[in-house]
Amino acid sequence: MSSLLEAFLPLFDKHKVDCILIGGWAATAHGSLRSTVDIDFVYSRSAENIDRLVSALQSSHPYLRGAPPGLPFQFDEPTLCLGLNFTLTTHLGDIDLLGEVLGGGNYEQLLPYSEQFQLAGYPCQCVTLDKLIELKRAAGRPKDFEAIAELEALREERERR
Amino acid sequence: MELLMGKSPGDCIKYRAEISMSGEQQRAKEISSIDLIIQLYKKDVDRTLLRENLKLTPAQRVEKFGEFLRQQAALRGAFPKSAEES
Repeated sequence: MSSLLEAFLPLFDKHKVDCILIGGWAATAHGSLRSTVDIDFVYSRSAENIDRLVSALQSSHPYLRGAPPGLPFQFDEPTLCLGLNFTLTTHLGDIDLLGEVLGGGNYEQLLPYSEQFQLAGYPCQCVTLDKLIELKRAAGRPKDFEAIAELEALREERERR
Repeated sequence: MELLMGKSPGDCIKYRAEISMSGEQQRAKEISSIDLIIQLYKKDVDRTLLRENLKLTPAQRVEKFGEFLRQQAALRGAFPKSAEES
């Protein structure tokens, strides 16, 4: 089983998709030890980028996660233009594609709060640790409280070094 | 804050209500119940593991986590499915 990053980053790199890694995998890149089952990206809503995103993911057969089978869902440009945030299951694994995120806004607003890492052999724009903590705090979900505690401890340890 | 060490998140919320009722409203504003809960969780974070992880590069951390997931999947696959699952 390859990791979700190893599965999706080559596709995003090949198709030059503009997106920012957030969520659990971003936390892992910053040093978190917590596990996660899906991967989250904030993607640019420009028409060109939506085209590239569709090209990158179409072969992995994205479908609405948790939806009953057989719905007339098409992962294409019109669908992405009409929607904003998509929680998807694919042949490669589960992925969340977010046009906007609470506390961070859209891709262009989040970009200044990201840094480029080389992950799984590919360049990956990743949200900064400070912003990641802000995003988790803005979401205000009780299930995130423990994760926020770890991220804040990470920040403290990083500042001590 | 020391008063809350070892207390449950529910106790924190209760504590917040109490300090608010006792007139320390300004303090209650500054220390939200969410912050108190996060502080409680933070004291249980194993910082030795974090320090070790911080010695790695982001790529190495991701690779290490990917390896953990692979081992987890292999372990799951090593057990036959129970009657309820199959």
